[in-house]
Amino acid sequence: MDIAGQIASYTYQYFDNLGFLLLSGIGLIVIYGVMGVINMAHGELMMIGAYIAVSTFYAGVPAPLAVGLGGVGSGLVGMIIEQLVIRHFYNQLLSSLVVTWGISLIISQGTLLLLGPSIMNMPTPLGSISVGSFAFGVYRLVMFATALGLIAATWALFRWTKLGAQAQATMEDPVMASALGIDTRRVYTLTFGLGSALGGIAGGMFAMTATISPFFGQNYTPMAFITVVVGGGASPIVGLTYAGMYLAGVQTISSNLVNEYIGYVSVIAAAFIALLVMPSGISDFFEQRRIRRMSR
Amino acid sequence: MNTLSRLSRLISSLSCVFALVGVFTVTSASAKDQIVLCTIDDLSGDFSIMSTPKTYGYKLAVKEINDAGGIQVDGAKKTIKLVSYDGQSDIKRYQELAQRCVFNDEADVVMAGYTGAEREAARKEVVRNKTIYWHNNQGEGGIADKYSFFSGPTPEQQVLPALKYMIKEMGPRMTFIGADYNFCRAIGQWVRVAAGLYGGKIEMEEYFPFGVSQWQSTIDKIKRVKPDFQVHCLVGAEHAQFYPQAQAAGLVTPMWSNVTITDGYEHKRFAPPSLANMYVPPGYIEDVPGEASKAFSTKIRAMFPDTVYVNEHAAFGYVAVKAMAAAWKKAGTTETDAVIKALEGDISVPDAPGGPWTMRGTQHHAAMPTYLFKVDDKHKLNLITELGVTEPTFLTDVGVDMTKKAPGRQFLPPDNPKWKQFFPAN
Repeated sequence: MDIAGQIASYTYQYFDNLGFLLLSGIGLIVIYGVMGVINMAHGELMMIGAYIAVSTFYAGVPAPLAVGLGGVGSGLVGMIIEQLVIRHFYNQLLSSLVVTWGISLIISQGTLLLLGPSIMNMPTPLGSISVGSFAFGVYRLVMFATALGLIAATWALFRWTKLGAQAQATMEDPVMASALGIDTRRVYTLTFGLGSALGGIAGGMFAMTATISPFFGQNYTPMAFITVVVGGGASPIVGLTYAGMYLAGVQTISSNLVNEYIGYVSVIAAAFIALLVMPSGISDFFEQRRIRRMSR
Repeated sequence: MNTLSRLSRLISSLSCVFALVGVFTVTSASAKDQIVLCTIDDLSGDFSIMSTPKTYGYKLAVKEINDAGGIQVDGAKKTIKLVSYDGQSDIKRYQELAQRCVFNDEADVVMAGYTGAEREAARKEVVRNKTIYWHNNQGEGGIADKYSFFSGPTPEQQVLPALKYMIKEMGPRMTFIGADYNFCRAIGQWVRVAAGLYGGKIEMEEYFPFGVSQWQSTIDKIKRVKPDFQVHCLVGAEHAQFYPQAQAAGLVTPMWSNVTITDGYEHKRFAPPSLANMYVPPGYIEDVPGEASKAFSTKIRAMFPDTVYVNEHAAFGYVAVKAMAAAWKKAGTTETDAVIKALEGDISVPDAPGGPWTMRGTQHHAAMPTYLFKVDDKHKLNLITELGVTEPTFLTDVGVDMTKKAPGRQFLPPDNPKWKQFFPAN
C-alpha cells in the first residue's frame, strides 16, 4: 500500500470537494447575506459566464482572461436583472425565490432557443502531478486556489473599502443606513452585480472541466444552495467557508470509506443534521454565541 | 371600476384563448384524412442534446413519405401528419403528453422517450389505450408487449459482440461503473453475461446517483485494480466530468461505453483529448461508412444546417417512421391489429442509415449491424471493426414468441435459464 500517495489522494479530494462547494456558493451567499435574496438564477449566471469564457477563449483570448471576461459579462447581466426585477423583492425571501426561479427558466430556455443545445467546452489545462502511484489533475487545485482567492478578495472588499462599509451598514439596518445618506439602492445593485460576477467566474472555471449546455448551471445550484443555507447569512464569508469545510470533510470521508454514492447522500444528511443543531446556519450560530458571551 | 374592467378584459381574452384551443382541437379531430404520428422528445432540458436530432429524423422521414404522395390506406392515399411535443426532460410531462397524443390527437402511432424512465412513463399510457408505441434509441431490450416496438439496438447488438471483441483484444479483466437507474443496472447484468460467455472477469462493479461529479476516489480505485479495460454507463452532464478528471489523473486504460458519444456526441462537446481511448458500439452515427450513411447525414444537414452531429437517435427515429410507413402500406389500413400483424411479418428498411434493418416479428426488436469505433486523442472517431448484423434472439431464448402470445412484461438477463450461473445471488 502506497501510504503517502493515499494520504495525498484524500487531501486532494478534500480540497477538490471544498473548492467545488466554495466556487458554486460564493456568489450566491454574497447576495443572500447583503440582500436577503436567494437567487435561484445563480446557475444561469454561471452558465452565462461559461458561455462567454468559452466563446472568447476560442476567439483567441487566453484562458484566465476569458474566465475574467465571463465574470464581467455575468456581473453586467446581474446588474440589469437587479434593476429590472430584483429591486422589487428586497428582503422578501419567498417572493424572491419564485421570481428568480422564473428568471432562471427564461434565461436557460432563451439560451437554448438562441444558441442550441450544446457547445464545445474548454480543454482542462495544466496536466497532472504524481505522488507515489497516484496522479492528480493540477487544474482542480487551481480551482480551489481560485475559490480561496475570490473569498479573500470579497472579504477584503467588505472589510476595507467604502462600498464594503456601506454594504455592511445596509446589511445591519437598511432603513438607518439610508437615513445616514447611504444610497442603499446602489449598494444592492452593486452587490448583486458582484455576486453575479463571482458566479460568472465560477462558471468560467467549471467550463474547463464540464460540458456546457443552457442547463449547465442547474448542476451546481443544489449544492450551492445547501452550502449557503448551512453557512447562514449572519456573516456570509465565514459561514460559507465553515459550511464548505464541514460538508467537504463529510463527503471526502464517506466517499472513500464506502463510495461516491454514499458520499453524495451524506452531504445532504450532514446538512440536515447541521440545520437541526443550528437552524439558521453556522455563522448565525457563532454570532448568537458571541452576542451571548458579550452580554454576560 | 378600474379593477373590474381589467378583470372583464382578462376574462374576455381568456375566453378567446379557449375558443382558439377549441378550434384547434376540432381541426385535429376531424383530420383523420391524414395518418397521425405523435412524437414526444426532449427539446429542452438536459436531454435535448441527445433527443433534438431524433426529431430531425422524424421530420425527414415524414417529408420524404409525404413528398412521394403518402401511403395508400383505407381506400385513399393519405399523408402523415406529424404532431411533435416537447417532453422537457421531465417524466411527468411524458405521461400527460402521451395521453394527449392518444386522446386529443387520435394518434395512429406514438413514438416517445429517450431514457428508460421517460419511455416507461409514455409507453404505459400508450399501450394501455391499445395504440402502437415505438422507442427509437438504444435500450436495455427484453420488453415483450403486443403494442410496443423498438427500432434501436439492444445489448444483444452492443454489449455482447463489442465486449467479446474487447476481451479478446485487450484481456479479460474489466471494471464497471454506471448510473444508478434501471437502464445501467440492466447494462450491468448484460456485462456480466458477456463476461461469463467470453471469459471476462469483472473486478469492480459500482453504481452512482446522477448528481456525482467528483471522481477522484473512483479513479484511484480503478487505477488500483489495473483492469485491461473499463466499461462505463455514465449518464448526464455531471457523470461526464469523469472523463476530463480521469484524463488529468493519468487514467488511460481503454474505456467502453454504449451511451457516450452515440447519444450525446461528447467528442464534439469536450475539448480533446478528454475522451481519447474510448470505444463505442453504435448502430449508427454519422461516421459510419457507406452510401446510406453518407446520404442520410447529408439530407439531415441540408434540412437542419445547425446540426452539431448526426447521432444514433436521428437514424433510428427515421427508420421507425419508414418501418411504420411500410407496415401501413402492407396492411392497407391504419387499423391497429392489422398494422401490428404487418409489423410482425418482418418489415425491412434495406437502405437504413446504419445498414440493412429488419424488425423481427417474434421479438418486436430489430436485426441490424453494429460498428466499433475508437476515439483518438484529437477526438476523431476511427472505425476499428464492423461487428456485423446481429439478430435479436433474447425473447426467443426466454421462451417468448411475440406473434403467438405477448406476456406484457420486461425480461432481463437473469430470466434466461442458460445464464442463471452468471447471477449467483438470484
